[in-house]
Order: sequence, then structure tokens, then C-alpha cells
Amino acid sequence: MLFLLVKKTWFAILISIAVIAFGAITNDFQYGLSSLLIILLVWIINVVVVLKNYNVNDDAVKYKIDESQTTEVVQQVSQLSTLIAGELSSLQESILQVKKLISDAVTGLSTGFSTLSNETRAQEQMVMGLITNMSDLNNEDSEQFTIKQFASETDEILNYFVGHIINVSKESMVMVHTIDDMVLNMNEINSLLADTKTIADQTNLLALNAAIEAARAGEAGRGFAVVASEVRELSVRSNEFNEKIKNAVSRSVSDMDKAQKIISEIASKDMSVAIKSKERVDEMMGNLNEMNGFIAAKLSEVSDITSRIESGVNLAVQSLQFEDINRQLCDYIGVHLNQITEHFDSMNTQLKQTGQEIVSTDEIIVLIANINSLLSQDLEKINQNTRQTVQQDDMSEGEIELF
Amino acid sequence: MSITTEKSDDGKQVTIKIDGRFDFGSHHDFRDAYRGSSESGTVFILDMSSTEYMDSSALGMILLLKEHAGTLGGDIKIVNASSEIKNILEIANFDKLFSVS
Repeated sequence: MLFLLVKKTWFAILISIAVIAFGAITNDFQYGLSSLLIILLVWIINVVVVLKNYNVNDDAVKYKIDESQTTEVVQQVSQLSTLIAGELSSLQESILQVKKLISDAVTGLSTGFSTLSNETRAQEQMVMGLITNMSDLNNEDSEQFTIKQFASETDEILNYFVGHIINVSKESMVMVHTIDDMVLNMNEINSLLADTKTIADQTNLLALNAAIEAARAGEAGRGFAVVASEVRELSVRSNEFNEKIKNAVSRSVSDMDKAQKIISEIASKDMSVAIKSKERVDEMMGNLNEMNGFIAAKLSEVSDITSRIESGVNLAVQSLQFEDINRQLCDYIGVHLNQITEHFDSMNTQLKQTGQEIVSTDEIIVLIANINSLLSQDLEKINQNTRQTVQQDDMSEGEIELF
Repeated sequence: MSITTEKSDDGKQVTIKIDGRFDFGSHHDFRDAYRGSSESGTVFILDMSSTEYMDSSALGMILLLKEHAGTLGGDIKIVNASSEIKNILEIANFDKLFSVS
């Protein structure tokens, strides 16, 4: 008999196994469960049909059973359906629990993600602010005094001072050349003074000769002797003057020498200090540009990362829509479980009635057919609902904004 | 320090070679090196191949030479400058005033 049962219901068993396997593979809990229950029912019906066939099948007369046995089977099936009804209601409770757990978790996740999204946005704004600031730093027209401006200002000041030093040197050199010319002039004065000294000396000599000649002339030359003496006196005074001028000139020359030395101090500035300063400023400008470039690059990288985080968060938030689909699925499962429970109840009632009033096989066939038809309708409804629900299971479409 | 001057046959190109230190001490010789040239359009070439040092007074002297060349309608050129000398000339922006090589 067991063999016959297996033989008659092998298809149902095979489908059960397939469905369980499919459920296990796809993790589609609801679908697997619903289908499993339906197949269980079909299996039970088959059992009843097989049992009934013992009586009606002419080829299987040897399996004929009496009505009391039928009643017992009906009772067994009835008990089984009561058990299943109990299981179904506990399943419904579990589904409600799952629904609540998922809902709670999703609410938490949603809050977390929206906080993350907000913080990321704030961070991106901060980074954008920094980037704007950085580009302002490079903006020459900016009112703020930037490091770059400081460096270029330093460069300008340095150039101004270098120009100033060179200008001072140039003017000093003009002065030095003028002094050189003056010294030349002084030397000329000196040589002229030498000439006048010669003249004075000769005048002196002439005066001396004149005095001698005057003395030889005796009384007549007395007046001339006085003139000669005066002339001699003049030549001596001229010589004294000469000497004084010579001294003054030589003092001037020595002063000019001093002036030249002072000017030399002013004009001769070592340029290495300026060169070093200039090099330092150039280096500073180079470093600054490098740093600016580095910071700008890093900031734009940070900005990129931020937008990637945001799109990731958006994807996660979008994916949280699974809760809605899950809730709908859970609701469907609940509805179907309810329907199935109702059918079990009505089947139970009918079976109990059948068990009490001994009925004909035809009546049992009609009864089973009724239950079968109800279950087929349910199965059709379940399939339709599942199709509707499953249409939404592609999260990436993201057409429904739920949060 | 020594300054030597070479004049081309037509007198329109004067090469002044400055050896050793080019500073205040050279002012007399340097001035004498160009003062005598009065040909219009004279080009003064400063050969600095063996110039070891240069201070601001030398820069001032070069500017005075440029002024002198300017009055003659000529020009000046600096040739064979070492990198250190070039550095100084660039700091003074002389490379913008005349040719430095």
C-alpha cells in the first residue's frame, strides 16, 4: 500500500523536493513556503483519492477496504489538517515577527544612512569651501592678503632695493669720477702754482739785481732801490701766497681722497646677500605653488571620495526599499496562510461530517473535487500576487522613494 | 685686478676685458677704458671670462658705460660671464637692459 501511495504521488514528492531545493537556492522563503503548503495539500488529496480508489478500482479488488477503514482514514486526515492548521497559525506569528524585526532594522538603517548622507554632504561642502578658498589664494585680485601675494610683494621689495643699491652705486660712481676730475684740476693748480713760484723767484732775483744796479748808481739810484726792495717784498709775499694756496690745495686733495673712500663704502655693496634673498624668495614661491597644487589635488580627491560615499549611501538607502517589498510579501503570505487555514477548517468540517455519516465513494469524490477546486483557485491567486510582488524585486530601478 | 682694452680697426667695437675682481678699485681704469672712445655707434663688449667677483659699484660702472654708449648711439654687450656673475646681472635685471651671455 505504501508503495502504491508513493507510486501515485511520486510527482508531488518530486515537485516538493524541487520546490524545497529552489527555495533553498534562491532564499525565496515566502515563495517556497507557499508552494510547499499547496503541494502538501495536493499530496493529502492524492492520499485520499488513492484510498478511495481501493474501493472503486476493479483491478485492485484485493486492496478493497471497508467503510470503517475509510472513516478512520478520514479521521486521520482530519487530525493531520488540524495539526497543519496549528502550524500555519504559528507560521503566521513568525512572519509577523519577521516583519517587525525587518521593519525595526530598516528604520535604524535608514536613520543611520540618512545621517551618513547628511554628514557626507556637510563634509563635501566643507571641502568645496576649502577648494574655493584655495583658488582664492591663487587669485591675485582677492582682497585678502595671501601668502602668494606676500611672496610676490617680497620679491618686488627685493627688486626695488637691488635697483636702489645699483642706482646709488651709479650716482656714487658719477661723484667719484667728478672727484677724480677735481683731483686732476687740483694737480693742475699745483703745477700752475709751481709756475707762479718760478715767476716769483725770478722776480725776486730781478729785484735783487735791480737793487745792486741801484746801489751802483749811487744817489741817483736811491729811489729805484726802494722800488726794487718793494718788488722783492712782493715776490716774497707772492711766494708765501703760493705756499698757502699749495697747502690748501693739498688739503683739498686729501679731503677728496677721504670723500672718495666714503663714497667707495657707499657704492660697494656685496650682491651676494641680495642673491641669497632672491633665491630664498624664488624657493618660497616654488614651494608655495607646489603646496597649492598638492592641496588642490588632495582636496579634489577628497571631494571625489565624498561623492562616491554619497552615491554608495544613496544606493544603500534605495536598497532599503526591500523592506517594503518584504512587508508586502509577508502580507501576502499572511493572507494566503489565512486562506489556507480557512480551507483546512472547511475541509476539516466536511471530513468530520463525512466521517460521521457513512457516505458513498461518489460523495467523497465530489467533496475532494470541491476542495481541489478551492485550492486550485487559491493557487492561481497566489501565483498572481506573487507575480505582482516579484515585479518589484529589482531594487536598482529605484522608482519608489520610500524614505 | 686688471683691465685691458682692445679697439677694432674702425674703432666701432671696443672690447674691455676685466680680470679678477671688478669692484670700486677698478673705477679709474674702467672709466679710462671707454672714455677715449667717441666714435658714434660704438659697441662696447665686456669680456667677463676671467672676472671673479663683482659688487654693486661694478654694476654702477656698467650703467655709466651704458649711458656713455647711449650718448654715442651705440650699445653694450656682456660676454663669457660665469654663472655667478650672470646671477648678479640677473638680480640687477641687467639681462633686460642689454645682451648678457
